[in-house]
Amino acid sequence: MSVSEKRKFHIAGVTFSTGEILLFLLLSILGAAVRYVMRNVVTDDYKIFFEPWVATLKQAGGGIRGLGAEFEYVDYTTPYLTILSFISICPFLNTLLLMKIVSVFFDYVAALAVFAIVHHVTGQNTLYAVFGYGALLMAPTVIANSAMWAQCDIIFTSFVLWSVYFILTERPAAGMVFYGIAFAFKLQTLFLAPFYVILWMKGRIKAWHFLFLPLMYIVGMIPALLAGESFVQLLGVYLFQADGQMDIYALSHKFPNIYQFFGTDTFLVEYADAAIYVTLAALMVEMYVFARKKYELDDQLFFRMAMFMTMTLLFFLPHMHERYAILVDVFSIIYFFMDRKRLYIPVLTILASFGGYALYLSKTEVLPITVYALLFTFLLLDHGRYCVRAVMKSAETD
Amino acid sequence: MDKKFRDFLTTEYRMGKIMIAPIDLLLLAATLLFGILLRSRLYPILAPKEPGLPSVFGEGIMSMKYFSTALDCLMALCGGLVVWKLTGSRIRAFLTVTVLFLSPAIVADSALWGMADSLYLSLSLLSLLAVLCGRTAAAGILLGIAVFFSPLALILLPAVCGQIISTDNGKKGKLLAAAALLYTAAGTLLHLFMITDSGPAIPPFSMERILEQSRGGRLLSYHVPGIYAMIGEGAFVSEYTKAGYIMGFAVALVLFYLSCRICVGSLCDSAWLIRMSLLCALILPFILPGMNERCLLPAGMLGVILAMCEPAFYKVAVVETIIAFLPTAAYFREESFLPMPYIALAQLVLIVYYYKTTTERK
Repeated sequence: MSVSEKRKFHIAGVTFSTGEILLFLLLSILGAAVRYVMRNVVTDDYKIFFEPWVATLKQAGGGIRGLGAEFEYVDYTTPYLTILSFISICPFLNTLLLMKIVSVFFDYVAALAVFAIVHHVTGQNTLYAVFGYGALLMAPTVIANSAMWAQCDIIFTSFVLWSVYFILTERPAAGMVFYGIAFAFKLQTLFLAPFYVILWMKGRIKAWHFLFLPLMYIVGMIPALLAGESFVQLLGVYLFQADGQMDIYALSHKFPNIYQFFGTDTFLVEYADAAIYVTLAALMVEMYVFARKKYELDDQLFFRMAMFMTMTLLFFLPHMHERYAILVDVFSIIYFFMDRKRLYIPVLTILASFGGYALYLSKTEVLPITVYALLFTFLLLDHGRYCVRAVMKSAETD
Repeated sequence: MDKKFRDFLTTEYRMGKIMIAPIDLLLLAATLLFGILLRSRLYPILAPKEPGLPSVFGEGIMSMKYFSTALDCLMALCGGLVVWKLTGSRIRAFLTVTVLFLSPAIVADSALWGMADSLYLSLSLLSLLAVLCGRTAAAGILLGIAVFFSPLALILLPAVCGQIISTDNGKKGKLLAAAALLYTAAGTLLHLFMITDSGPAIPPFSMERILEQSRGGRLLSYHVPGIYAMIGEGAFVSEYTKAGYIMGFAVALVLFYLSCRICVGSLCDSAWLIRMSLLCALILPFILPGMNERCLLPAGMLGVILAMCEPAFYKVAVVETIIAFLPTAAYFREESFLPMPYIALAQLVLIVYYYKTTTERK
């Protein structure tokens, strides 16, 4: 056995060198350290929403019993409320830290998914996979979302990432189960739904796999049903969110999209209603272009298309929040390892996305958000150009 | 089962003279549905009251909005026909219809303003189509009628005339070009008559007339990202107006000369007509005085058509589609969200970029 062979380790089907393992551990520790630094940041969302919600859950008994609590207003689904309800009766640490710990745990789950995906799409390159893992842990938007803001967007994101991994490795049923779990946590999972329809058109998933979405949602409702909540009311959580009534006060909530060009504060009802149809129409055009011709959907096109379609939704939909581009942020990191000449994609994507975070967290506008909106528009056009070219080129060779 | 359904969606079937797939029909049906639903959400918005504006454009505004929506359909179909003629691709033609019908500036024109600009846009497109089919006299007549409905159609004159001359060389070509000019001159005169108080109260003209009157004192431009947004819209109005018209005429002459020069004596594909038309539609409203918020509609429309014919121009199309909507948004908001001089600067950069790209391609 050679020296180099001696230094190879096989863990969960992945071959690591000693250096790669050390790097992996070091990045994990640094990821934890940077989050530890942020542990005491308290945001308005925590004070106005999270803290009272956890208090209400605790008052109702916490745990499963807590889910029977009467809220004045809450827009989370049962799975995350269950987590909060157990946090409310946890004897260790305080609510803020516990919420952050849950989100940070899922940061690592997402980072492992990125590791697995990058490992797969780069032809089993472990070093790139470790870099991908570290890049996700160090991504400013990911850190800010969980460790600063105590938001839970990374939970659904991590399930979506595993879903993508299973689809890429030709295990579509498992992929859709994870997509269903993500859907049970957050409505924003549906940003990727048009892309999944394209995956169906390309034969990567089957029509019946989509049944996992409602199925997982209903499974997620079980704790609340045990606590005596009404089935119909639980089904209505997403209808309430989709209605957008709680976000009616601005067309965009510090998200760098099209509304930053012509104003976020006029014709709130009319523009918001019309924007739904604009979004549907834009997606319809994209889906038509991507479904009409026969072409090969390779890994690069897979991620470009996923980013393009998600960004289209974010660009046109009204009432988008600062945090909603997290899926695109993560995909852009993965994409970089397939196309390493295009470093600008993850850099500009995360920069544009972080513009909104900075505005919310520090409450000061250093650069006008229109600048970030311009960046976002540029990236959208760049992805669109790549996808259309790739589809046309591949279709021509057919 | 999945595969059968997928194949059914994309398999082409013969319908009359054309082959069409169910997914194409789905696209067109959804376009119509979304286009109408989208507009229906915007119909309640009425123009803000300007000094002297009588009860937001009068009683019949809703009827005008419905009528304009139907005209939008017509314009989108004409755009699709032009693209089909130029590329021979049904898919691109269908996409053109969709994008034009749902283009923000076009939607705003009918659903917010209640203006019938799609009428002159349709006629302008038919004029371009006639040129592409070699029917130059028809092109002149159609452009003349378009000018009758809106003088903004005149901005396409240099490109259309240039192409007419290059299409029919010799004496016949010159005669046809002269005839085209004559038709458009007649259209202009008729328009001037209709827009005056003595003209009959036909809705498209009375709406324009009311808007003109309500604006009271004249400005060099109204929420337009043009040169006057950069140098000031209210200073030296009389002098700059005259100078602007002279400069506009000079630029139009140059564009006409370019149109002739590009296409005579060298290889010239039909797409040059659209490229030159877009160049005219970008430059002339930028320079001419007295432009209103809807003057970028032809540029927005031609940008989409050009991008469908030559996808390399997609950036121009997207940026111009956004810019074409901003003046309308500014009007209804009663102030521009982004400073108009910056938008004008962006438009200038776009013009320079487009000119450079176009000439490089030549």
